[in-house]
Amino acid sequence: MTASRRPGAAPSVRGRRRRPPGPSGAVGASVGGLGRLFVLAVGASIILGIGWMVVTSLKTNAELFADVWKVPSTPHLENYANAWTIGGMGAAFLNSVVATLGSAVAVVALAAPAAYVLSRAEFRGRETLINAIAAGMGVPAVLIFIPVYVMLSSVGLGNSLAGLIVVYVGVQLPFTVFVLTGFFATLPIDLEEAAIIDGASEVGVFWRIMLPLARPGLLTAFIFNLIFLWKEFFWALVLLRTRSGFTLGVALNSLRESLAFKADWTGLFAAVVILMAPAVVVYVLLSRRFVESITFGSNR
Amino acid sequence: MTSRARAKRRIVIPFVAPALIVYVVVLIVPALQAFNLSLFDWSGFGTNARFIGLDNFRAIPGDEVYRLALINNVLLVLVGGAGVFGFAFLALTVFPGRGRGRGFVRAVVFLPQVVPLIALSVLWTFIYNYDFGLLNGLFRVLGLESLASTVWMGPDLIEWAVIVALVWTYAGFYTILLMAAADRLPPDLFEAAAVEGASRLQVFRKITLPLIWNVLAIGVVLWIVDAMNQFDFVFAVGSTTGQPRQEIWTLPIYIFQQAFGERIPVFRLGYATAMAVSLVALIVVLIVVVRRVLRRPVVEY
Repeated sequence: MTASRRPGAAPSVRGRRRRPPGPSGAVGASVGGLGRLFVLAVGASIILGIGWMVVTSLKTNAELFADVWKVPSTPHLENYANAWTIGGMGAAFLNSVVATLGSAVAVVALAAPAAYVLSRAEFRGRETLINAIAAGMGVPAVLIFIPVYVMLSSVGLGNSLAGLIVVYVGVQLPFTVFVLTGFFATLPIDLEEAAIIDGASEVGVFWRIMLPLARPGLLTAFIFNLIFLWKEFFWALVLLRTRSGFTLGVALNSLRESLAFKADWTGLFAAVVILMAPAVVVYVLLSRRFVESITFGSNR
Repeated sequence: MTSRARAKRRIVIPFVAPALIVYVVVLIVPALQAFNLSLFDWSGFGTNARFIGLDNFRAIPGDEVYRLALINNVLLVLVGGAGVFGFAFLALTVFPGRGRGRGFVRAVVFLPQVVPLIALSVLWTFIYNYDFGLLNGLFRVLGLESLASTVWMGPDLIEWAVIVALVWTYAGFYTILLMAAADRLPPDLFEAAAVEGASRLQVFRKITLPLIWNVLAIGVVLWIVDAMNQFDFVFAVGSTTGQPRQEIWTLPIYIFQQAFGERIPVFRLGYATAMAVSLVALIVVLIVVVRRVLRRPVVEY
């Protein structure tokens, strides 16, 4: 393609004149209508599916099996009470909060200074270092879980939230450094220079000038890590071996396994909602920023 | 070099070192250890590992379960990929430009991405349930009695059922990825096309798709990584026993199971790691091939 493809002069559109009109008339419109209907139906099924789980979590199992769609006349909150206490979701909720928040704070705190110098200092091997860290995004968990398990056990961090947090920070670092490096690179350099002339130290410039300027980027990276780590299941399954230390995903998994003995579906859906609700609420409140962070991070 | 640049260079090491140390300890050292471990026969903690060279890799071609899991991974990449990108293309075609409905589609189709997969697998287990599942219930309401008695979680259909559920889950991410790229294109392109009376399909094929080709290529690579590493959903869907259903195992499930996934762990740690190395090699090969196939000259506009 050449530079002749300018706005307003798209060759494809010009080319259309040479050919007979395509299926754009009534037939094309109805196909387009069907297509839109299909896309909207998929969208509706997502809302319906999530809403159905919430409604079902408020029913008794008898009500569920009498009619899977009927909204209960009185909500049965005891499903939540049971999941929270007997099901262990309450303790797991706390563990998930600690693991998620702790890791997200730590990973942003570690990544921000690294990203700052990687994007704004001149030194030999800078490009190599950026690429080496970005390569970490391609290391799959199944490759390293056995060595990591052995390593954590040998330093006394096996089967612990602390060990899980160390892993979460490590696996999320490459992506976070990558996103923040891109973000720091967009900040203006004049403010830095001005602060130096005013006698600020290099650390002072970073701490008092650049970090506040980078707040939107830091927040985006933080929220992304929050939602991603809240969802995380594989590492928690590998590393957490005792019930009291479970995060929500593994706790839900062991409740699911107990379906074989006790078909308590509505109780299970209460546990599902406990796991799902915080992430969905954060997403609904911050969806624009979150979607931006995803697409930005993926445009590598 | 200015004194400023020199002063700034002095903070490089203290600023990068903490992140770099965690990165090397958690990702790089274990990755190197994994390549080493794949050459050993090691049956558990506290026992001695025995060096066996490439024997673990030689065992892979004759392993029936490995073949089954690999086929499932490839089905997910190809059939699931067709579904995921087919949906994304459709969404971009029927909701072109910044038209109405697009905002809704963007916000909603992305939603499954923030819901933990283990939660979605519980939902889909119920949807596909033979007796009281939502899908058979829907067919019953529609009067399609023959469809209503389908055993979706039976051995014949379960892999396809899983692929449909995963397409439903992942399509939104790739739709958003492509839509974000399309939204950065200059609007006058689309206005010109509208003036010239181009159909939606023509706009997508002749304008949108060529101009977002680079992002599509990235999306395909991300999908390969997602599909080849699929674990969470397959681990939990359709099973109430704790063990993942073997008909739908992916390689990551098999690798986990060979290490310590069973009630009574198998502890074939060397073999599991060799399979993981083979998975990484497969992913790299797939990405290289796909990048070559999808290489196009960059379109300027």
